[in-house]
Amino acid sequence: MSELTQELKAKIIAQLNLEDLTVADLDDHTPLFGDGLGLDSIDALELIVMLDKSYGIKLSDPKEGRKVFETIQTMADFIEANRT
Amino acid sequence: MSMPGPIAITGMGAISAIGEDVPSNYRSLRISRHGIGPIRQLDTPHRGRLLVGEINMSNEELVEQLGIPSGEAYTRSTLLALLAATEATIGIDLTDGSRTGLISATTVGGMDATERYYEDYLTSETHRHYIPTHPCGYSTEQMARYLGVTDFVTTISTACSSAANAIMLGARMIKGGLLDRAIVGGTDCLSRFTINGFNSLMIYTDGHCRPFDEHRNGLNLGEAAAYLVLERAELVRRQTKTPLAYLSGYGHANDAFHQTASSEDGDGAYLAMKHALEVAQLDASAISYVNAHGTATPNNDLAEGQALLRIFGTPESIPPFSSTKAFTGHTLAAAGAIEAVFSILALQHQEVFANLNFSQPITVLGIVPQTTRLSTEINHVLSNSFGFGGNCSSLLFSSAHD
Amino acid sequence: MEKQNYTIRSYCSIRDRSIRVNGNNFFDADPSAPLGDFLKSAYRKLGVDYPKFHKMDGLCKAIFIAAELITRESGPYEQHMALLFANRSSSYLSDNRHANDVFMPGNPVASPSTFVYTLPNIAMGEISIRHQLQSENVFFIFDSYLPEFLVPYANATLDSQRFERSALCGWTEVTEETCDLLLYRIGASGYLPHSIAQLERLYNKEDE
Repeated sequence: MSELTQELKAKIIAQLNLEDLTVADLDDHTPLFGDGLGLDSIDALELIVMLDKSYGIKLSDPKEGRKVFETIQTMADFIEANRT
Repeated sequence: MSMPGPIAITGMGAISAIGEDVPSNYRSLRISRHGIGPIRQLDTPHRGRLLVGEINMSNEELVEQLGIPSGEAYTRSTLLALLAATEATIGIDLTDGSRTGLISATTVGGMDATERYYEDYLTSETHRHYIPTHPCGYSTEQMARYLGVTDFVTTISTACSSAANAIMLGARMIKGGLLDRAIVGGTDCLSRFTINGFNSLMIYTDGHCRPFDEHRNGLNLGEAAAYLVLERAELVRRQTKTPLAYLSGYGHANDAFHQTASSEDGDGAYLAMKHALEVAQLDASAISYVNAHGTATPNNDLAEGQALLRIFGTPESIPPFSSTKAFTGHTLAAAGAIEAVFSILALQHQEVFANLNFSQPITVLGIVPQTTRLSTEINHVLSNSFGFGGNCSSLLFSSAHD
Repeated sequence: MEKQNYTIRSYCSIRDRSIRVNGNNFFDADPSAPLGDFLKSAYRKLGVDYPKFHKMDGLCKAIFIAAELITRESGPYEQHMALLFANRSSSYLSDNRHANDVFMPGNPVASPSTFVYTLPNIAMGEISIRHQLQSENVFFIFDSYLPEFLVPYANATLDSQRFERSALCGWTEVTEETCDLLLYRIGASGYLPHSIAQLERLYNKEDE
């Protein structure tokens, strides 16, 4: 499981252009949106694209994304449960 | 030198999903007949899923109607623009010695041709004459040549507020004494580039858009072209012509919040409307109808609704308002112009056009749009167009009748 | 009618891989450095903490850097400062990336963050967000830098403002191959005249 979270952290940093951060800086349980990492609505859409491209999971409702993308851990859990 | 008084509108032309000229657009508005349906012309994988406001004419039909030699390269946006601009300038002598400018808005430019022919370009000569048509400015240049405008030609590309900004620029240049007459407006056709892009923003509704409804969930795209002819009011009066309407105010401000989302309080929208009222020297209570930007996205309608409340004070004080995007779809760079035409039609016919597909007000706002066509006294109309990049514009049109 | 003479308070030019502010060198990179690397290094040299910079496309990054340098030289921007930009290629950098994404045979996947930048006026939005400007902004597309149009247009815009007249104006042509940017802040209390002749001199680097 931690292999997936590490993989996710690297992917997120690359996909969202988080140049000033390294994988070590990202905690599994930090809120990604709001007060934690401060990602915005476009970032959320990019994560939806990433879920599809890298893990074959299609999210059709952006609102569903809010729960999935709460933290790295929630993302990893969701991917484990739904990946194709 | 600044000229006093409003700008006169002496011509208008339009083509959209609800009509191929201004009278047919009006007929559709009058009977609340929308033009939203499945994609028929454009070849895209989103066919069969998305509903759009497509114009039911092929490029070949447009070429024929315009009488353009068939070998020449004209992209769809340009063809639509030529039709609308031709209609707008009927009966206006562009060779009468007045300094005439053309200010056209587009975001698609020649992209529809590029995406169709790009792969061909390297291997065959057949479509290479389309290569120069790609940039936005080329469309305007072709228009200028076709119409015979030489004094001033430029293109504005600021997303969904483009045409409103083109109209504003024309007015300012006339007021500033740089032009006597300005042909202003915008054009955008459907393209895969745009459809795919907006899809990645998850901004579409799968059905018909529902402006200002609590359960709205996205927009329908559309294609259109519309142009106005602006002239110095004093000149028009001297010729004892009655203008179609007056452009008496305009405002523009940046929302300074996010690249694509609007601030919760609709700051940019509020400031644009406020400034338009100031330029027109009118109080908000003088407005008879607001033709809203109303894209039916969760974000826009909430922000714009808040801005309306801030301008007018209370839900009851907001004049009848509607978004006509449920008729035409969101026509991007043409939106400000097609909706300007609709605003002028409202003034001419003393009618408010319906805000379709509405059933429940946005809970947190409690404002209700005009859901059926309404005959009522209309003296002043506000027309809003808000674009990505926080680019917010508002135009104020006034009646030419006493 | 008011006929005021406006002045240039500060200006920044980015030519190929060289950045100058008010005629003085700020940063130079190897002429063969890719655009992205050049702009990232310049950003680091700026020493500013604005992580959203990295999400921007090349056009926005270049404008961001120039606007940052100008405000450092000439003080905070007024909230109503007008933005009047122009270029030739519009948002070509992002348009091209997006086109490559969606016209790819087989599996076209659009990137929302790329698509967002396929409009030239997003750059003005980014500047407005960074400096909290709620002003008017316009983006023209011309064949080449046209001070003959931008000077009277900027003057008219300034004339229409009520107090502390101010505008940020310029030519911002940025593609992978070309970086041709001249941004300047106009107001009442600058040190260079806001005139066509002066801007031609700045653009042609005759002052250096």
